[in-house]
Amino acid sequence: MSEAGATRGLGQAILEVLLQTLLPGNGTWPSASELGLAHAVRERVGMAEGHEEALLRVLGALPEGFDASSQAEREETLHPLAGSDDFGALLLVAYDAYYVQPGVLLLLEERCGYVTRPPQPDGFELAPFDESVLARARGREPFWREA
Amino acid sequence: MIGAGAGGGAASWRLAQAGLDVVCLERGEWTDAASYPAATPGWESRRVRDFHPNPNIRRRDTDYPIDDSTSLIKPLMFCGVGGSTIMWTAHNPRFHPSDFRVKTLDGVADDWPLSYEELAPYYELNDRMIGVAGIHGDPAMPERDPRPLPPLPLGVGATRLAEAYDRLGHHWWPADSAVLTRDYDGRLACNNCGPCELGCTRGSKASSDITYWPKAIADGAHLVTRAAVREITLDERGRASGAVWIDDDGREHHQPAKIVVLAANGVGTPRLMLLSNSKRFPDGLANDSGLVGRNLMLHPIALATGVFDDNVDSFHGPDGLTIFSQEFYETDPERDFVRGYGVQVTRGQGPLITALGGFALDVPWGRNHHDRFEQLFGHVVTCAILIEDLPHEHNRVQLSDTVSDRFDLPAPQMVYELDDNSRRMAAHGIESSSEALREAGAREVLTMDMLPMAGFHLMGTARMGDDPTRSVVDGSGRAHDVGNLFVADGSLFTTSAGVNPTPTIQALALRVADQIISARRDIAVPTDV
Repeated sequence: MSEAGATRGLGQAILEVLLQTLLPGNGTWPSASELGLAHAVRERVGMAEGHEEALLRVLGALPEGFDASSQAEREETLHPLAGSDDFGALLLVAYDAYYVQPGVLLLLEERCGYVTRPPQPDGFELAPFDESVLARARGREPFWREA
Repeated sequence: MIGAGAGGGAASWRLAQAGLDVVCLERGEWTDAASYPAATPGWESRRVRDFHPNPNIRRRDTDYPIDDSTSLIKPLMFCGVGGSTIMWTAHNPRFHPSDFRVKTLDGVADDWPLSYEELAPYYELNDRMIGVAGIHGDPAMPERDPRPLPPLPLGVGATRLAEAYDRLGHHWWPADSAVLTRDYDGRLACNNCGPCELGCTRGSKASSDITYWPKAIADGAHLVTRAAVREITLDERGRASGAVWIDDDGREHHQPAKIVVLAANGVGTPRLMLLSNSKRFPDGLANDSGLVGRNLMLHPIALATGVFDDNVDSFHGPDGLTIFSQEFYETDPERDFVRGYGVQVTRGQGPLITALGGFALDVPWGRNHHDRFEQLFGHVVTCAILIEDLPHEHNRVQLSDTVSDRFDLPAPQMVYELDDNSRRMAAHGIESSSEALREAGAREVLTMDMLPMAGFHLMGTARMGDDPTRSVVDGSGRAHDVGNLFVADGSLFTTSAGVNPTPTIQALALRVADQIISARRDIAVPTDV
């Protein structure tokens, strides 16, 4: 961890830059910054043991000037960190925060046909099994081995 | 009875029904179905936190840690009434007759000390007890009784793959599912919500806390929860005399017993046996063979995920249950591996798990994240290639030198590596599944040689056999070295077969119970209990 990194906290702007690097948006899907995702991430890091520490270590590993560099440069900077458990924890909290934002839920419904309400209690229709699909499979001779 | 999961629930019911006095010690607790995630906003995020299947990540106070630093495949289990059936996806296949005769037929591992025909009545009984949905006529299996319930619908993706299997001439069949498709035995039919592995809020999925345990308790079984067993005790003649357990306050209790049944799963049972060393058994209880904890089998899983141009609605329906193929299940000398594998066709996942990579998905972070997410979400069908794991003594559960639980007892350590036969099988399975997915219309197939988070099937660590030098228990589940000690969980498995083990665990547990019932007057037991 760099000297500057050791003092970085989750309340600082660099977290917003880091999240924007992960989820930059594309014109259709909103970016982390547009959603103010840092706030939701801060709320989530305490929900599992070790996540806050992991996030702080990732922030601490960022070089000076990270926040002033371009998206492409920031992605390049992050790639060496990407396989670590700490980075995995960062992705988990970032995606967890992103994919429950109201604007993102709306897009999941409109563009993906996904029903965003909780699966229960309403569930979905349980269609009857269509036995006709088995016509060919049923015609096969038994092929299990006698033992 | 130690453990109230799949095996412990089934065996406790059978024993209590026969009039035996049953006390079950369970280190976990009852789970309240209303607390399961599926009915709450943000339900998917609990899948990666307090409902993660890995106890090392979930870290509930009822879990114990598992040292998995020496295992390629990570342990998945749940501690509580119902055990890992709380989190299973309820795939309910049976072993094949050949699975019990692998030495005779294929010259590998060992034959089981019982046959498919001997176990079949217990499979039938278990199917009726838990409520199984499926359909007769599978050409890969012997004839059997009709399932109590019709199958689940296949959905768009599985239907495409079924049609592709038909065109390729490959076997497929609707999955046998321990999920109710109609109301059954006082339980509600499934409403197709999807995430079975997060616990079933409706009680449609057959977890043993709602199938066997209510009946066992009605028949007089006594279940003690939050009771962490640390040792099986012996009397002066080397017979099991009960169990020492620890309560939440750290106080120790002794539960005396005439007969002890271990059903703490394929990791918990050998751990407890290894913890229970004594002058008579310095290397662990009933371990004259040296095989307690040895021959750990886990079912390695390889993945092939097909990406379709159109939306195949892959986020709806019970996520682990559509169809399966056993085209490559039996040994074929033309192939470069012995034994075989089954393919389970599964659905996709919700947005969070998809973004995190789901089943072999390559969703990048950064500028390409959003486009790739949209290409994959709802557009995938996954073939999970479940490999028969051959037993090897070096794959094992032992006591960890470095990790301990909250009572300062050594944690179990999994030592596990993949053999070359499994690697060759995985490669074959990926190739055959990729062919099927492309035939089904997938424009792209993403693969993974081995899924690390796959250690739900914990088998072989107190194996059955006729030879006391090559097994821990006999064909009735009774320890060779301690005549009133039995095992009733996945530890019993002599070999792993290429299918999910839970119905076989439960059938074996029912059979173990019947063996105890019929032999109980001849079993030498402690006289002071």
